[in-house]
Amino acid sequence: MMGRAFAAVFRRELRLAWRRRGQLLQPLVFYALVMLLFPLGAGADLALLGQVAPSLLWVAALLAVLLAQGTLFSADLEEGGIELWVTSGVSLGWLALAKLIAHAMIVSLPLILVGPVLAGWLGLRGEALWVLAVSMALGMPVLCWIGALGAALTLGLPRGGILLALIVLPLYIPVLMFGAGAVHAAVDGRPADGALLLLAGLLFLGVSLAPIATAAALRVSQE
Amino acid sequence: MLEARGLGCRRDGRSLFENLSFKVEAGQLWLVRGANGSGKTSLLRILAGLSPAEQGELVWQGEREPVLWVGHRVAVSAGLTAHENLEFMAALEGDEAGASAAALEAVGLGAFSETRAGRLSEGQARRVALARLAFSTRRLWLLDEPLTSLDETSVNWFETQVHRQLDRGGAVVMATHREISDSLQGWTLQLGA
Repeated sequence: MMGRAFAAVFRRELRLAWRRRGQLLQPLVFYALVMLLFPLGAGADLALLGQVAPSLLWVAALLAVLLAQGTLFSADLEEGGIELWVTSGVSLGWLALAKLIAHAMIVSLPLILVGPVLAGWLGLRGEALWVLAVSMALGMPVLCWIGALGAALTLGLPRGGILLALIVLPLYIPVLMFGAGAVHAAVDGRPADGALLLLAGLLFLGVSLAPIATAAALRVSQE
Repeated sequence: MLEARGLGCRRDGRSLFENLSFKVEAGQLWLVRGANGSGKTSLLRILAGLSPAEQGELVWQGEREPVLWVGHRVAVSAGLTAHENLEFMAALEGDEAGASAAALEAVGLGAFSETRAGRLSEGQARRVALARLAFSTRRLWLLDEPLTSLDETSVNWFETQVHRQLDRGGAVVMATHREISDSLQGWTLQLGA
């Protein structure tokens, strides 16, 4: 029964995401625009671009993820879906895990795919592109889950968006540091393994803690 | 089945109800009545485990079991079709898969099974959520104003389902303003009296 409920939530999220795919393009378009416009504004100094590109790629990806968070649970709250989850008898953390994994896939995958392409446009080459892709694959889901926790905590609050950013941004900092750090290291020809391993650690921490914390926040939203 | 002992609820410093005790037994229908704001929804939410009981306690006879909850917000997702919504509910509540087509037919929504719920009227959306009464195996149903915006035919269908639930040893606790047919005899909880 738990497997069936998990699959049902997962399928439902993917189906709903596909049906409002226009909305999902927003973070992607934001990301691409920042990356395309920055070199035009900064001038054709390739050395400078090479220096800031890793940070820029990560900061913009982080903000793009943040864009996709605010409304994560709002439809579920308004339509009564969370009541259904709580009364279903299935563990709320388990259902939250299904939703969080689906959410991470839906938001991160397009960004991870487009990230290395934009990095190429900013002048990154060779191994740095791989490191960027791997660091994003490890880090973006964590950003999504932190954001989801923030969205659950601010559920139903007026002007929750600003509060969400305040809660979420400090927690984003370690991910940003290790993510951008890995790419910087690769650009400078230093090994990036350390930062990537730390990101992997954060990923496991996220997948084990985020569902429990999100479930607790969702339960509180009902009281 | 479920016993409430001395339940109390306060909202914004005002007491909605106090020291409310009753025992829901198998085969019983309980009607929660009272004016707007008298705490009907609060009581049902406490029974459903959505809100904690501030005073008093809930005691289950035997193991605590999940209930069927149809709230004011019916948990029908606007982006999914009527059929997808019902299948999703069945999957979460552990009911048999594939029963939704017949259930939608029974509530008169057979022709709407592939329609997105966002395009349905309020009463139709409520019928989608209520359609699972036809196949739910849960022993206790908690329904908050289930008859709101339902037409005559649907109300009749609903009453048949309640009969069936009571006959097979289930119980129903519902809040309603509407009169229900005399064939359904129940206990009444009057709030705010």
